[in-house]
Order: sequence, then C-alpha cells, then structure tokens
Amino acid sequence: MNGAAGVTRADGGLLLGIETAAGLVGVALADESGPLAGAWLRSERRHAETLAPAIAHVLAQAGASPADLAAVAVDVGPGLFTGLRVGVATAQGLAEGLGVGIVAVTSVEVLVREAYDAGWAGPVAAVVDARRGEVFAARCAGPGEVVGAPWRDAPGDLASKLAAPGTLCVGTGAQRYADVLARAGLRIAAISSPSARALVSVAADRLASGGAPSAPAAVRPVYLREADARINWVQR
Amino acid sequence: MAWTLRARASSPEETRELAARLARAARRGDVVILEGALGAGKTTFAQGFARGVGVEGPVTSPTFTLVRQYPSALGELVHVDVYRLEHLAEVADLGLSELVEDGVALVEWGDAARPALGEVAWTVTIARTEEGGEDDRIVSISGDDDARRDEFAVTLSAGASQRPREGRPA
Repeated sequence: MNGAAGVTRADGGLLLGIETAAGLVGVALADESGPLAGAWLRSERRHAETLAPAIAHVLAQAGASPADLAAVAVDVGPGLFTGLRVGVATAQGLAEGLGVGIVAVTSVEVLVREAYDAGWAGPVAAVVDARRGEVFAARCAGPGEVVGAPWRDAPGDLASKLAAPGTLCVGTGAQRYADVLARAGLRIAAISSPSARALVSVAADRLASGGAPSAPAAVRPVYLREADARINWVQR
Repeated sequence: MAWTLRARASSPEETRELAARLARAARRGDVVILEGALGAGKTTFAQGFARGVGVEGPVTSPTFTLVRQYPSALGELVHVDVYRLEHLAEVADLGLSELVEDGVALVEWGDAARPALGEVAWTVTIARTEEGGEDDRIVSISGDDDARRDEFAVTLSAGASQRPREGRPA
C-alpha cells in the first residue's frame, strides 16, 4: 500500500470525477487544461450497475487507464442515498486500490459552479430535492465566493429565507418547487442534477489552489439528517 | 393530539388479519414504525399488512437484509429492520426518503432510529398480554393526526363487527 504517498501525487495525472448525488450517473475526466471526457446516464435506481461501466468507457475514450489517475473526485451530497453510497463507495475502492486520494466535493458546490459556468453573475441558491417534502439548500453570494454550508428545510420556509432579489435557484429541488420559489420572487434556472463535468472543474480548481485530497477511508457522505449519533438502544 | 387505539389478537393469523385491515387506512408516503419485543409478531404484522396492500408471494423478515421491497397497491412496500444497526448514519444510508416517497415503509425497531426517519405517520406496538395465552397479543396503534385516528378506528370497528365475539349468541 502506498496510499499516503499517493495523496501527495495530485498533479501531472488525470482527475476522475464521479457524480451520483441526484438522478444522474455521471463520470468525467480532467487534465491540467480542464475537462477532457465524460458520460452521463439518467438513472433513478441503477447507479450500481451503470457507474463502473461508465468509468471504463470514459477512460477508454480518453485513451487512459486507471493507473493514469492522480486523484478521484466524488460528489458527497447532500443528495439521494441510493446514488450517493454507490458513488462514494466506488470512489473509495478505486482510490484505495490505486493509492491516490479523494477530492470530496458537495453537491451544492457543483450546482453553484454550473450556474457560474453558464454565465450567471449574481447570488445563487443550490436547492436539492431531499424527497418527502424537504430540500437541502446552500447559498453563494457571487462568482468566486465561498459556497455556504448546506442545510435541510421545507420548501416554503426556504423561499422566505432566500427571498433576496436576483437570487438564481438551481438543482432538482429548485425544479420541483419552482412555483413556491418563484412566488417568493426567486429566479429558477434549468439546471437540475449536478454534472460530473462541473464536479471535476470544482475539484481541479481546489487541487490547483493547493487543496490536498483526503485519504479514501476518511470520506463520508453529507447526511443533514441528524445522523451523527449512535442509535440509543434502550430495549433491544 | 397524540392518540392510541388498541386491539386484541389471539393468534398469528388474527394479527395478520388485523394488520390487513389497518392497511386499508395506510397512505402512500407513510413511514410506519413497528415496535415489540423479539418474537412479539412484528414480521407477522408486516405479513398481514402486505396482504392488505395486495403484495403477492411470501414476506420474510428483513433482519439480515435490512430492507426488502415488494410491489403493492400503495406503490413500493418497503419492509425495513434496523435491529442490527448501531448508528443513525446507517439508517440514513438506507435511503428511506427516496424509497418511501412513492410507497409505504414498515420499520421494525424504528423507534430508536426516529431522528433519521423523518416524519413518522403512525406507530404499531405489539405486546404479549400478562394474563393471556402464548399467542395473545395487544396491538396498539398510535399517531398524532386526529383525522387519521378516526380512519383507523373505522377499520378496526369494521373488522370487529364481521367477526362475532366468542361467548355471544350469533
């Protein structure tokens, strides 16, 4: 094992991005010039079957092999667990096997990046559909600004909290609750699931600015559902 | 207002019948907690509930698989057992919110995992009776929504009138 040495080996090789936090299975490769290749599939429940073949396909299209990877980037949510656990586990297995580190990116960072890559210049709210009448949300004041910590909310409450003029809402939750958000004066963009292309862009920028990848075993999905505690078994 | 309704069952088959009747008052999107000691009849209840929502084929304990899913009249019936889990993150990992949005979940031992379950529609607690026989059970249904209390009361009384009590002239 050379995991610790691999973590420092982030430049010079390719960066693989794995995006499974919402309704898409997405894979992208980037080199030092930016995104290089990618593939995506709309997949509500088939993430486990489709992700590994998609990785193999994208590597083959770029004429690369797993040994060319310097780091693996993965969307750690918040998002849908059916997909997240597949994406995070695959990233961990791959990175561990290759002795490289993982760049953990949140879904809200990816969504905000999509809005700014598309040319938007104002504040952005990333709104992810959490199902059962809830959303995960985070704010960013403008291009180049830090994306705030995500929180869990009801769409109606979120609308009143975000009601700053000129805020653009992106993400699956923004699409689903477009009516509620639009009534609060918010703008809705046609950006739904986060893409692997934006994911590798965020990860590449982080590495370029000196951010170190994490050890694979340290990477965890973002829960936002009070999941940090042990189950309080009193009568089992 | 929090409410509780109680019914008796004197055999596993009566527990199944009771569960099948209660299933008529279940709604798409419900997360239902099943409580009761080991052997109380949580999986037996789930079997009857599954029958009530039109599941075909056998329903077996999810203790070791954690989750079993069955197509039903209320969308996917998701039968969960969190008995073997130690951490709320493991419950979150089951992705129940996604599975239940277009279905119904029965969560065995779910009470201790409430913080990770989101909104719970109603709870079933199955207990042995102190004076009764080996197969006698008291099944309690509780919730917070008064309108639903009335629906469950109707399904319980409908069943009781169909099945004459012992010792009373028919």
